[in-house]
Amino acid sequence: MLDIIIGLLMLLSAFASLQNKDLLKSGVFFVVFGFMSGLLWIRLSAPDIAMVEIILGSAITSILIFKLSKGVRDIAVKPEIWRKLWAGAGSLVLFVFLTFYLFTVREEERVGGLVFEKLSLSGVESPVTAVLLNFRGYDTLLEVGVITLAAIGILALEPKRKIYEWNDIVVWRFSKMFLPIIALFSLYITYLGAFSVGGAFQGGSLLAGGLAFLSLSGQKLPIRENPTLFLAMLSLAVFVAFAFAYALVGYGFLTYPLELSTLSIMLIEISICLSTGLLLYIAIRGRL
Amino acid sequence: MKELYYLLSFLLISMSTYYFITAINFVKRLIAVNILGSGVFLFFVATAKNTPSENPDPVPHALVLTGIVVAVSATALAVSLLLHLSKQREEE
Repeated sequence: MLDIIIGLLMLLSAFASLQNKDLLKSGVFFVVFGFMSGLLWIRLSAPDIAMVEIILGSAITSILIFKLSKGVRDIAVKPEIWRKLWAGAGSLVLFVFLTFYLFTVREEERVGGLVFEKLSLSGVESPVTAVLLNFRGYDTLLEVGVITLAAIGILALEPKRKIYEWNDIVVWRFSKMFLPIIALFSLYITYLGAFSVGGAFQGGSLLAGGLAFLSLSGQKLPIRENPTLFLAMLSLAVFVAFAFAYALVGYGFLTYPLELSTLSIMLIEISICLSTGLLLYIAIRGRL
Repeated sequence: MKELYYLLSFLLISMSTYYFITAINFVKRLIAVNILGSGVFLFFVATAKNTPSENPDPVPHALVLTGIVVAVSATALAVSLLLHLSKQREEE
């Protein structure tokens, strides 16, 4: 019952966000949508995803959308009627085809059983962290590469733009008071990822949220530019270094030796936490 | 009951596809892409839950976690590109 209400609210807020004429209002409805989907992830017993969704998908994406809607001018070109027609027909056909999937889907044992079977070999106790950093390490390595590349692209695109900020005393006081606590807590969540809910991306997105407040209040990190860039690129370097070091010793690319696996995963996770926070801070700020 | 999650994800996917094609504004398109991504993630998580065992499948969870972070960084890059584009249009 609760799930149905959350799902309906999700659908309504998505519709309101897409249909609204006012860009500010549609951004606010997008925040509601992100929060509702976070609640739905918790109902679907995926608390790891809920943390990342509420911080990144709801908060940081909306900051980016507000930044865009302030900078971009409305182009008043109405879409032609035929475009609306074929878009409507196409999405209807898409919906009908997707609905056919419901007739074939059934409960079955998937690859998850294998993960729980081999969990003791991974070096961590949380299954999601084990998949992210041990069993499917390639994905995470490439993901770190993708966010690093996105930050490099942003740095290349916005060299002299005015920084998007709110100049609000409340935001400034808040970030001054809470940033140390947020940074400490994000490291704690990263550490917690080895045992239960948490992990590198959860901690990193929390750190990014704290740094986003700092950037929006018009302040700057009290670090010079080159060390910031170095710390932001650190996780890719650490990850690649670990992968190649074990490959050279003879274990294989991204295959950790059993007795060192917990330590290696911990070090990689802490570096990913720091770098994700700083990379998303660069992404919001548009420069170092 | 579990079909409802799939149905919700299909509704979100097709609705945001429609708005992605017809939206006149960049911001709306970006929101539509993000909602489309959320629909796909919901499909994955619903699949992870659709097992007879007690625990949900952790592999789709890890994939969705990766996907959300990549979606946010792609959105950030898109915002930068669009700001750049609209600035160039103003200069012309």
